[in-house]
Amino acid sequence: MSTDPQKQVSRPISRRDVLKSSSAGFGYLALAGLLGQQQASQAQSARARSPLEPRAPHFRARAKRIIFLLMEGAISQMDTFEYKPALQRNDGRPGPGGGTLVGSKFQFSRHGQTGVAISELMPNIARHVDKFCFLRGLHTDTPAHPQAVMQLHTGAANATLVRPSMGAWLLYGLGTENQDLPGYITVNPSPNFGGAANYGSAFLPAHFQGTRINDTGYMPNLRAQTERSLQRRQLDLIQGMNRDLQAAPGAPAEIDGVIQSYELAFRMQDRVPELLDISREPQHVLDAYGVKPGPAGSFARQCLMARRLSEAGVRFVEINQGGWDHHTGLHQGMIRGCEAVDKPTAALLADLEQRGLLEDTLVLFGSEFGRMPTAQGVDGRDHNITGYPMILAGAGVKKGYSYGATDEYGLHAVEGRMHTSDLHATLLALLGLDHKELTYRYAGRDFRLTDVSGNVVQEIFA
Amino acid sequence: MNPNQKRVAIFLLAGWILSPQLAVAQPPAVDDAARLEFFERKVRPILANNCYNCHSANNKSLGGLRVDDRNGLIQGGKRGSAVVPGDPEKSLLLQAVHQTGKLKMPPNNKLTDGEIADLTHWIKSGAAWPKVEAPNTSDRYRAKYEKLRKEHWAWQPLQKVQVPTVKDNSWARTEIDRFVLAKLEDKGLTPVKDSERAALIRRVTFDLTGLPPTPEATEAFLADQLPNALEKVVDRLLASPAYGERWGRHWLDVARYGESTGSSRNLPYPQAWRYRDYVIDSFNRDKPYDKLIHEQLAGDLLPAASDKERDENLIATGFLAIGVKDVNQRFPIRFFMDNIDEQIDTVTRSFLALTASCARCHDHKFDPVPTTDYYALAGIFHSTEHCSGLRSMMGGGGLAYYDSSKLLRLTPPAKDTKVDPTLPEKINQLTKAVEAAREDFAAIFGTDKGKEKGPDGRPLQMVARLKMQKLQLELNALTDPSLQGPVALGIRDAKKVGDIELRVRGEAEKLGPVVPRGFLSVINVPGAKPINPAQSGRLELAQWLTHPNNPVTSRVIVNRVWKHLFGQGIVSTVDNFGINGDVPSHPELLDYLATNFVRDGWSNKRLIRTVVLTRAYQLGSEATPAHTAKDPANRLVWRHNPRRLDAEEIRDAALAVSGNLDFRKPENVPSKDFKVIELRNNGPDAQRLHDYAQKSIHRSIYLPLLRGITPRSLEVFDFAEQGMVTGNRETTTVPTQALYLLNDTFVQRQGLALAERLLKRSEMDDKERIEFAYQLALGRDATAKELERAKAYLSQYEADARKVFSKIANQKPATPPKTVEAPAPKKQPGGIVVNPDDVDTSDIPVQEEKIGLTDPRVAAWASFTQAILGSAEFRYLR
Repeated sequence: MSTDPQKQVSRPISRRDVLKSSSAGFGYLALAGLLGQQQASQAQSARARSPLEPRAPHFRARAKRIIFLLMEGAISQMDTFEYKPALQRNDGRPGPGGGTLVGSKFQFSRHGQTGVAISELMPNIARHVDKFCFLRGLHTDTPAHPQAVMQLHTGAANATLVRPSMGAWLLYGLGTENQDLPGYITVNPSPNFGGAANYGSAFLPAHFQGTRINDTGYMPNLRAQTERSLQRRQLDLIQGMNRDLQAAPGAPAEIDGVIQSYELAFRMQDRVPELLDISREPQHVLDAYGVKPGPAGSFARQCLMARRLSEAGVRFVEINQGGWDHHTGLHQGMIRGCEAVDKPTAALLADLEQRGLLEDTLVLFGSEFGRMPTAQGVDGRDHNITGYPMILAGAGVKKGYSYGATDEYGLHAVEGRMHTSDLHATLLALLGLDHKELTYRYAGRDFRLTDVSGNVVQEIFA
Repeated sequence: MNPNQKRVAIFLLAGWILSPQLAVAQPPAVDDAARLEFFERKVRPILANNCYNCHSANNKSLGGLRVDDRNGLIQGGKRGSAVVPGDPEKSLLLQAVHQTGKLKMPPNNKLTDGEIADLTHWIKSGAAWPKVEAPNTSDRYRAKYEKLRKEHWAWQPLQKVQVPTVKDNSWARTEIDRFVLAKLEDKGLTPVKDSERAALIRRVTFDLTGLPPTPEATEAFLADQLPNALEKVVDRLLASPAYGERWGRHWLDVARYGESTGSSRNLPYPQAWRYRDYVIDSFNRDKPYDKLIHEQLAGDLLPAASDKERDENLIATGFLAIGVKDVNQRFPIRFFMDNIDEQIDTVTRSFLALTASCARCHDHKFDPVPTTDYYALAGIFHSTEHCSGLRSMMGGGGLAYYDSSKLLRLTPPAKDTKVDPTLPEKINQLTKAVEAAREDFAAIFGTDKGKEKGPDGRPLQMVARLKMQKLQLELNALTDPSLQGPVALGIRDAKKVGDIELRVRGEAEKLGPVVPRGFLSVINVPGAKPINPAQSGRLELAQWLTHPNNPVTSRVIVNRVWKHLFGQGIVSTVDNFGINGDVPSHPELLDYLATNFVRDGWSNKRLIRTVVLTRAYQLGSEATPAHTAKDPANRLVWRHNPRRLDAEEIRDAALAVSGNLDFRKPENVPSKDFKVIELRNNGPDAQRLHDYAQKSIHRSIYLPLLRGITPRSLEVFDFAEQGMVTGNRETTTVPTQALYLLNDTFVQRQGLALAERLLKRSEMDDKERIEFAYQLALGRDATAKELERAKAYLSQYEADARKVFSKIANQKPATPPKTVEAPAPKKQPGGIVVNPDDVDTSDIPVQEEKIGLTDPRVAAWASFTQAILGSAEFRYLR
């Protein structure tokens, strides 16, 4: 399947099409019937004015949406995806930047056609290695979680001016494919490390911010308490009051966001309950992801929700597995953490591929920074911001490809170096947006996700 | 289960907990190379080959014992010290390997006589162990730290500032106004117009009490043309109990108030509410902020003139006890050090806006806090006993984590003072009975005999266990102070006080050099009292924080107050004044406020009164393009920032305008009766709390606030993160809020109550009712256009509703409103050692009930009033 819109028209209608188009489907028809023509057209014109309408990209989009699997706390690349024979050989010797080198205690073996070495902790993800486009030369600015997590999400870690998150910029640039759903959903985000700023819209209008849901997919108050025509009438009254306030002097800036959120909420009542109900999936799918209750099954549930949300057209879905900050207890911690993410991540990739979603969905896997090749204590690794990898897979990127490299121990990025701003520029480009053109005027200047830097790494484009 | 595991399981089950021996011996001089060599050559291999599989950091560490670390051996596990250096007789390790007693190690194996002799020799000669090197990284930072201490604005002494002169002398009413105006003039800006008076009384009433003004109060204020009209309103609001409920809540955010441990095992703090009430009461009595700090950090060490004062002082120390705790830990020492860290983090962030806990593992990377400073503070809290009613252990169900010896007894009510003279004997008898029952149980548990069915068909071991548990409960009832009278959570000085060793890389067992107890070197406080060596040092810490020469504490609190009144702090990062924090927009004003705050006796009410009576506070909220271009974030205060109400304000305002609000403190909160047993987010207790919160009509501050079980009405509007100090809540705008306002039964119920309140007013016509609704909910008159719109809405809605209702009534068969059944509570996994990762902690859907209305007129009015509650104007202040 191509991303060329012309070609998409000719393919048969799929389940996804039905899911995505139901905003004008049964719910809407029923609504129109109940409301009478005049109100229906009001509701429709409110939608036409929506700033979340899909918008054309700056240039050809290679991907339509992103699923970001955040490994918050910094997963040890030395024990998963960065195989460094020199590190293994020099285990116990002094490192080039001080400290004592410590090789991984886990076995690496080569996988797929590309023969990339992956550790035994990720046996299921390893099966997909030929789909991957590794970015191996990433680096960032601050070796502290709050700043680095904020920078990964917003491009900056400046305490005095919080900036919009990556997902908010995407919605601002592209709108959303499915008007019945939030265009930006973050599942299970950490309350720390910047909290809501990581999915916030900052000075962008409030309707671009991410909607948070928990890892059970339970969202309260989705069931209308009154008959829908009556609810619509009530909502029109509320919106009338809101627009009056918006027009008044001294109105809070968020009122437009309030108005948009009401319209979206009204539509969500139709779509979201079944969409978030992962128990509707057949047993073999639940098994493939390893869905189970409780914290140990959290990431599996999140992966499955991510697939369902992306399939329904959510532009940016972020899911989160924390607990990787292994200054101590690295060995057991990695075993436990990888057990939680390996199978669900692999199942997500397989599922996306099987449904054709990998053609237009880009998957990003990684952390705010990496960990050191040297030892910290008896069983730990400290933060490393000078060289670490992330993984891309799916729409728009080369398969079985690796860009950039760190030195022989995995300490510093030495080839294909990519700063966080380069990552952002490249992700935007994959979605058809020019990071230099995607600007928003605030405080007398034009802001962008990449601020004054950022280079698009075209080498990774498929 | 191998025999060893079985034995541990028995201990866990029976709750045999010896108090962890925290006395740590210094490693011997390491110049004795021969003894170390003996250890490496003979002893370590024995430990590694025979014990590490079950007793090391990287493996299971059964029974809480680690043998891969000297302190692990000395501290021992649940049975006590495994090694007493120099004393083989007292070393449990040797008793175990001799296998002459009950404890036989290694399981299914016995060391050779030679190996036992080597172990004995090693212990007798002092249990030599290679010293852990403490990396002296401070050198790396010394110069940088010195420079920051001298130069960073936050840590410099308070400046004596001159009130600035301004060009426009007519605008400023107070000295604060002159500071604000001077900055604006520098930028070529002028303040916008003053606020309309109706908006002003709404603003000040919410800001000071968290509640909307009544129509009568608004009317009276608008009619009062005297110059001191606002002053009278402010004094009335500051004197009302609602003030403490609003400003106490601000402090509870900072105090990361929560009524449960909130970690992987969520255990309730059933007495935490006493601390909450203490905070509310203290704010209402305008307790000076320095006294508030003294009581919260060292109430137990303060003199008290009466039992009441003593109780209050003890309750205040709950501040240090109610943090997040991970009780599910193998090593008591880690639990202990983690709690100390949590206390250091809370104390330094809340009072000093400093992230000192970063220095637990390494010198602070940004702020000048060396690791030695961290352990100087840690020594103070290490000398402090944590009384939150809890102990740590690995796995365990029921009351396993409950430790009733870790509670503070308060003065019992007079009628309960009679003491049963036979009580000591009863306790003695029961203790013996419990011991006997436990031995009976241990003897048959897991044996063939134990599995035999008894006369009632149950296995004999189960019968024995039930008997043991029953006796234990009876004993608990006699000894548990919480069953005998009022108790509080808090702290007290430990039996042993003293300095502690630095922990290398923050690892609890890796001891470095001893660090004398003390305060943070980042703030120089000339004249501060040194620590009293006979006490923990908390009192001197409190005195250091509140010393007139400490410039940070006062700056931090006046900035917090400013933030709550202006929407953003003079320093926008209210919890971080460090290098990564913001710089003040008005540094001179900050120092002026801090200096006067201390001079005026640390009075919060006085500070608030002064600030709200400034002209700056009373500005309108209009934004002009010219202002926005020069200062878009309004850092210079050219207007008043509009703000969305907090979660509590939205809920309380809905209750207030519906007429449902009960101003009294509730008595029947279910969490007060909770046992200290793990809570599941989807369990019946969580369900009870949600149901209670959904139906409660009391002010939100009194809702049960167990971590992870946040009432929906609060959670949806960005309630404070209860895990750590929160001086600044988020303000999101998301569709889940709209869904709440449209569909939640709480909102529906308040809308209906408001509608009924209006309809009951038989002397009013519908136009007057609409006007009254606007006055109640929005604090203003409805415009002519709004009146017309509302009237049209009500008649159309009523007509539509009539059609819809009759259609529904004619549907056959009549289906009752469907209610979502809450899933049946899932069974707690059985067994003794529970992996918390296997416990389902997912949220339970709150039972959603439907408010079915059948009268079209009532439905129309309820829909109209709910729309007002759902309007943006209801929840935004201008």
